[in-house]
Amino acid sequence: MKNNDELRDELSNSPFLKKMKEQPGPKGVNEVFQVPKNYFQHLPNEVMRKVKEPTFAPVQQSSWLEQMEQFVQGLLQPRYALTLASVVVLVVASVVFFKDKNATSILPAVAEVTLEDISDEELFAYVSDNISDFNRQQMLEATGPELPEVKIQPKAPKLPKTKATQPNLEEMEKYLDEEIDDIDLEDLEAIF
Amino acid sequence: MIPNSEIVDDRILSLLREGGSHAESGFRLLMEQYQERLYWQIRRMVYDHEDANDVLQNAFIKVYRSSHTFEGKSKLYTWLYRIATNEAITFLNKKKQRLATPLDAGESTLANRLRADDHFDGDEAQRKLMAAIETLPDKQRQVFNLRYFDEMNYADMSELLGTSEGALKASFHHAVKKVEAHVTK
Repeated sequence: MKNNDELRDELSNSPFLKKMKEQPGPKGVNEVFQVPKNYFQHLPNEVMRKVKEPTFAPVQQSSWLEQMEQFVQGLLQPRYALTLASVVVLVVASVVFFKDKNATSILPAVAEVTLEDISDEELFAYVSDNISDFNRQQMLEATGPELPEVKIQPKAPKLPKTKATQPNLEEMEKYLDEEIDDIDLEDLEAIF
Repeated sequence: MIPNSEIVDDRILSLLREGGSHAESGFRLLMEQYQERLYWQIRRMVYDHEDANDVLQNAFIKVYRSSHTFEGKSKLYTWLYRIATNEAITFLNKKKQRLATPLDAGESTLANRLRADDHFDGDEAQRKLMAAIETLPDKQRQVFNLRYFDEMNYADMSELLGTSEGALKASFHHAVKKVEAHVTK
């Protein structure tokens, strides 16, 4: 009784709750929920049956598929979905970023082509087009010891070509007669 | 409180410790002694009878499997109540995740559910009361239910919930104000 009086005092400023609490009959607050007939008589047997099962499963134990479905549905809730979306954006951005970085780093590797990969015709065409960029030392170093060493003989200066392949003796004598006075004796001795 | 409950508790624990068929008798006695109190405590948390039935059966199965771990430091009902409450809270959390119900839709969802519930025999005022109680935080709702419906005194509630009597009185006072404001707005 003392406990009831205390509770009534605690509800003195709450007319709705006080009225509901004092409502008599089967519509009182403790009777608003109904229970199936004989539920409490059958419940102990039902529990004992489950307890005695060799591998009893808890009631409503969900399968892995249902658990996975629940997990996915949980992820679709706004607070988790926003986090998940942010993570996905970060992952995609990082993949794109590193992909670009890798693409640029491939370029030097492509440039590193060995001479063996280039045909002789291409090499010859390149050297011909850029011959002015090479000096003799570079050419020798590039060819290496495989080529035989060739001694380069200085060539005699070429004389201008004349139409007359056979000297005309009369003209030569005439030329010498005209020029003989201008030639010193010492020069003649040096020639012969 | 149930008269001679401590004598019955001693008998139950004695049978459970003996094992074999005695343990089964002890467990049956335990269920018969506490099933209705536990059921209503759970029912006020989950509202639906089928849900309450599932939660209570799972709670009893856990009690059976872990009865050897009960050391007798608290009352038997306190131990049972904690197991049943934890089971109900776990059930509600899973249900919330499954349904992904928006928080502000709680009242209308519950009100609709109660209207469609064949096992709910209340009128509109009682539906409003249930909907108002559901808006309370879990711990505050537990305190309100134990005090308002079960009329449990604060000393027993303190042992049951592990909270000081002063804190429980304050919690019930705030819960009453919230419920009253909710149903009269």
